[in-house]
Amino acid sequence: MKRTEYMTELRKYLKRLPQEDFEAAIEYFEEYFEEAGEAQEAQAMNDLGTPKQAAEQIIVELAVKNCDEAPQKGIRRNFSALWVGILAVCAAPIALPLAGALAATIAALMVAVLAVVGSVWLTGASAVLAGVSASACSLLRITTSTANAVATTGFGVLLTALGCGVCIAAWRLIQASVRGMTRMFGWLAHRFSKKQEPCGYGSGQEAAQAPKQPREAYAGTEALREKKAVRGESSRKWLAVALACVAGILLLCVGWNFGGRPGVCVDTKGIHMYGEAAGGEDGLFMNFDVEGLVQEILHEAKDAD
Amino acid sequence: MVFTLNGPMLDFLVLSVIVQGDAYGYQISQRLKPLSDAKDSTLYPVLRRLQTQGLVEVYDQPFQGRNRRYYRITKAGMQQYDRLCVEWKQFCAGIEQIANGGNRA
Repeated sequence: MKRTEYMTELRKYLKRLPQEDFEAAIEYFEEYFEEAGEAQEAQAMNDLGTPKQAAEQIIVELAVKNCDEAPQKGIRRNFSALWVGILAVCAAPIALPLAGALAATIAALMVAVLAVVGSVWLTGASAVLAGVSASACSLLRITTSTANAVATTGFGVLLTALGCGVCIAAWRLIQASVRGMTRMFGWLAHRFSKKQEPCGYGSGQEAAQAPKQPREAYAGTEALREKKAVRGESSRKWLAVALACVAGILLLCVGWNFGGRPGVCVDTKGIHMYGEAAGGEDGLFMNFDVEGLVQEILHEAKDAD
Repeated sequence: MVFTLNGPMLDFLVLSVIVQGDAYGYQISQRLKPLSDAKDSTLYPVLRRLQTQGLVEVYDQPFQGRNRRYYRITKAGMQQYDRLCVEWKQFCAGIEQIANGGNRA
């Protein structure tokens, strides 16, 4: 094998890693070859071990790191960490069929959880949609039927706020479950890769525990600041939701007091609008069939399993 | 080799090499070679981990028209090194005591 072939193969194994980790690893190996010199190329490859071995160690190391690191900002990075975890489990020699079956079961379970949470999110989103359109429709008729319009707008605002709240909570849950899966896969990879090479360097679990103290001292203040910032942002969101709820209820009460009734109703079948909110005619105008949506998603998730 | 290096020992050795002076990856590999049968690619994840743990930091220096990435010990790395030194001495003393216990002069 030539050096270029070695590097091509290594690139192939590592291509799923986040770009930064990918580049750092490739640079390291390129530099290693440069230092060894052209004359020592064969020796260098022999010393390094196969590209596959090298890639597996890098991936497992990264998965273990993701496992005990603070959660990443942004869902994309979290999903990427999850992907590294899955790769690591595949790389770690889990020859035991039991472990494979276990991983598959857990993965299926996680898909189901994601589907349920996703449908909750959709419920929230459809509530937002219904609320916004109810408010908008009734505002158009504010001159002809003021009390009804105010009541419907109030109800719409309330619905929007509640929907936003549900969406935020569901989003949090999705992030938390992605994070949980990342941790689980990292842990699995770590557990099973430990016995990989009895004469190797080991996986460094014990060493990883020891320097916890300096690491915290090193990165502690920054992590704390970031945590506080995230918490501040989240509490502002919830405050906005609560304020919108109060505003909606107030509007609804005012409208109701003057004899107006909201043209929106919510039942187990979904969110319906009628009367004023639906454009002045009686009967169903818009129909957000939440239950049907949930059923559909669950059905698809089942098929995917 | 009869006796093998495990994770913490490897951390200790890598830190020791870097404490003596900034070093690049290949150089560290060569220093550790006499002690281990393990493949050199195992060193990269170790360096990467020490880096994320804030025990070592890297800087680049041009060398013959290309780049050399040097590893340098940090303050936290120094503390960890000192701690591992103490641990290692205790460990060695314990081994010696048992291994040579029968034929002490």
